[in-house]
Amino acid sequence: MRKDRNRFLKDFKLQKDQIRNITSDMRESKLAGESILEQFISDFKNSSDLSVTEFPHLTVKIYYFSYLINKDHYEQFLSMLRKITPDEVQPFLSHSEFKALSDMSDVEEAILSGSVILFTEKQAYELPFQEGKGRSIAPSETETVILGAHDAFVESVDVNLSLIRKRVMSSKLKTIKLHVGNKAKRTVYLLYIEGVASENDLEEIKKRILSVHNDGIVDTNMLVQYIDEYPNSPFPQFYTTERPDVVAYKMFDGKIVGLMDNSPFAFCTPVSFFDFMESMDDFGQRWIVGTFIKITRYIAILVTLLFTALYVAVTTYHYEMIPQALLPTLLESRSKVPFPPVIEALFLEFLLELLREAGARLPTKVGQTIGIVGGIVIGQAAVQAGITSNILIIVVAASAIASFVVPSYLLSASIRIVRFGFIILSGFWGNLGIIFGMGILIIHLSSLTNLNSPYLLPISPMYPKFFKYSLIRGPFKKKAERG
Amino acid sequence: MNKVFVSIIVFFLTGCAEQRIIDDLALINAVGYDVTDNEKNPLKLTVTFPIITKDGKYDRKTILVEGKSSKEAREKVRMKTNLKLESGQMRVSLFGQEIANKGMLPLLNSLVRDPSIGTRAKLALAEDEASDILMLQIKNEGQNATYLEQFLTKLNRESLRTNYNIYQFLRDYYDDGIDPILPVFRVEKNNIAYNGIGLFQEDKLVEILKPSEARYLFLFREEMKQGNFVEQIDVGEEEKASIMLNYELKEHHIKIQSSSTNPKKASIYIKLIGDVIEYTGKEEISDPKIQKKIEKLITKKIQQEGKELIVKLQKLQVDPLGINRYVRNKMNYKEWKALDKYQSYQDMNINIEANIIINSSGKWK
Repeated sequence: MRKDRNRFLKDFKLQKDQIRNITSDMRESKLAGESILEQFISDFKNSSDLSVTEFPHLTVKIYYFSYLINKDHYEQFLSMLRKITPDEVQPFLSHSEFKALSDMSDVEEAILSGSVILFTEKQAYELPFQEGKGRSIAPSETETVILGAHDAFVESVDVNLSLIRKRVMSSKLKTIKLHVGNKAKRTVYLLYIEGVASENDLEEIKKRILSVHNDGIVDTNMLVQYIDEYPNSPFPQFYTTERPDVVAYKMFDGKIVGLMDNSPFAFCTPVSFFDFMESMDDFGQRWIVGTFIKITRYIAILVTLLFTALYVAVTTYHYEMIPQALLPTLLESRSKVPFPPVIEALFLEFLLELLREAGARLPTKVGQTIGIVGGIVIGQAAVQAGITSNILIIVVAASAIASFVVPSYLLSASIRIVRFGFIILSGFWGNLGIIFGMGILIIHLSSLTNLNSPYLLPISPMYPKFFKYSLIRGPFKKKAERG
Repeated sequence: MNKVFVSIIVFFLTGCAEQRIIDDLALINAVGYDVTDNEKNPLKLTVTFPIITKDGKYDRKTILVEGKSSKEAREKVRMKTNLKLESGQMRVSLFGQEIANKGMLPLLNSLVRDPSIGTRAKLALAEDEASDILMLQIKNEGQNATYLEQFLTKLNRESLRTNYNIYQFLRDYYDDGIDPILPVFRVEKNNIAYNGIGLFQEDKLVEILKPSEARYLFLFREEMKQGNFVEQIDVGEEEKASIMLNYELKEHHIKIQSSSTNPKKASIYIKLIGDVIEYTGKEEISDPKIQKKIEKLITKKIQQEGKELIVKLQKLQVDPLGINRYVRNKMNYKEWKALDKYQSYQDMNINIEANIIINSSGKWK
């Protein structure tokens, strides 16, 4: 900092002579500086946490939020300021590190993002002394992998950008800074690799983000709901992730990535349903193992969606489908239950949702209690009390476990909701209802789009060539595919 | 909003399907058909279905009614239980000897017509009364239906491949070149036991073969790919040895020598490769010479016993081996239609050409 200071002073001596010549030009901006200050004070009245330092002999006023700035840098700056004479103020501030601001909205954004604002009579200056306070980089808790990098995004967008830059070491990585919101503006960065991402997509997503004027968007997962095409669909359309390696991979795949300040989530677009079925683990595994795991996930989705519904359909309407050897156990366990299978299934599924939600909300220390209470109460007592049948517990547990296999938390939650629809349908119409439900679900999924790209992309519309990139985890090509 | 409204209307206007919750159902797993002396109600129907007792145990209930037809009798069963009667889980359908003598088709007709009964439901005959078998309470054996079904499945896996479900029975019935067969069960010292094979002419039971005779029948039916051959053979003068062979049927074909000659001539070729499991003779069976001798003895035995069986079948005018299928293949449709097939079958000269090869003599020596 001392070195910097010497540099400032040297610059300032060189410029000393020039200053005297331009004082006449400053007359207009003098008025500008004072009017900004007045507006600033009126805007920020009743902000008791706003700190101010005045240098009356220099006609300088400095405003800042003490908890947003780096105090050391600020103190050093003040000690420099104390040493200069009124004449030297202007040249000192014309150093490129200090940005002159001419607009009240810029001033507002700067001070709220942690800069120190210095008002002279003529101008307002932004002194970038932001403090990078925040959580340090830690492994992701929502998207864990076994084989792969363990760092995850944090709330600071600068750190997040650095995590991506480190993975995409190329000048082709472009970033666009945008703002959303009306009163409280939030910064959104769009990242893409030039030449890989589609320009049309970029224009489209830019347009959509700029058209969002709502305030109170505090997280990426909220933002994407303002810019997606089908807000009434239960299915997530933008892929959001906490993992920088996923983001880097998606970018090389031609996707555009969005980061929002103070949110540890990045969104990727355009994506399809099958992006939600992917985990970075698949790429660490041998391709055969990776493909097997992927297929397991598709089966898991079917199990979550249909297993309980199938139980309801079979026990309510299609007793012919029960294998002979299963009949005694099924009859025995059903015989004590006073409710029809639909009510029984909905009750148990609802109880399971309660357990899951309670587990997610409770602090981890209390969370263990939920496991014990849930395991014992639901597992043992419900059967003994004759509220549910043994087989249904197995069915519900299996479909719950299967729902956790889906790597995306967003998709897994959507599928759990859709499952209730299937159970009700099967309670009304049996297997016919399940088939109806499947039909409606497939129609819905294939009508969804994300940034004008179909949701079921390699299947509908059919592109068998791309199956190996999204449907399964095909082997890596040793030849480079993209220039 | 309109769309949502319309779909809700559609949803509720259709109403629910007819609910059949499994714990309110009487899932019939076996039925038995018999004749009665009663002229008004000539059919005796026995149904058995699983129930859950008050203390949560799996048990069964058997109901016996008399009626005019099988569905009429079923209506009477409906009046005798608190559960809703459903036949979709029916596994075994038993026919009493007497009713099978009269013809099975009317009963099968009503079974097949019911869409909830699959064509894989198995059929079997009961010596004397089917109701005796279904009413029999064997201790700790559970459901008689499950027992019978397992028994029939086992028979099919082992050397007695009857493999008879509704579909296969009707297939053989409607094929004019072969006659169906069914396994026979009877009550034997508080147990249900296999007791031979029922031979059919069209849909009427003609004769029941004893298990010892039935063994040879399966040797000549091509469905059986492997099995056990247990027999006493004359190894020397006045000396008998019992031998058991685990065989595989390598070749099986039936040849009709010529179409124009009358009576017709047919030959059944079979080739068995077997491993000796048991041999009680004094000679050392691992000796190739002795093996050759025994091969010859077994061949002779099969030819002799098989001939006896076939003559018996011809006399009864039943064709469970499907020899008429090969006769049919040799002629055109007009000729086949004009042929009195049972008469020509009876007059046919059928000989057996068996080829037995002993593959190994087992682990001993």
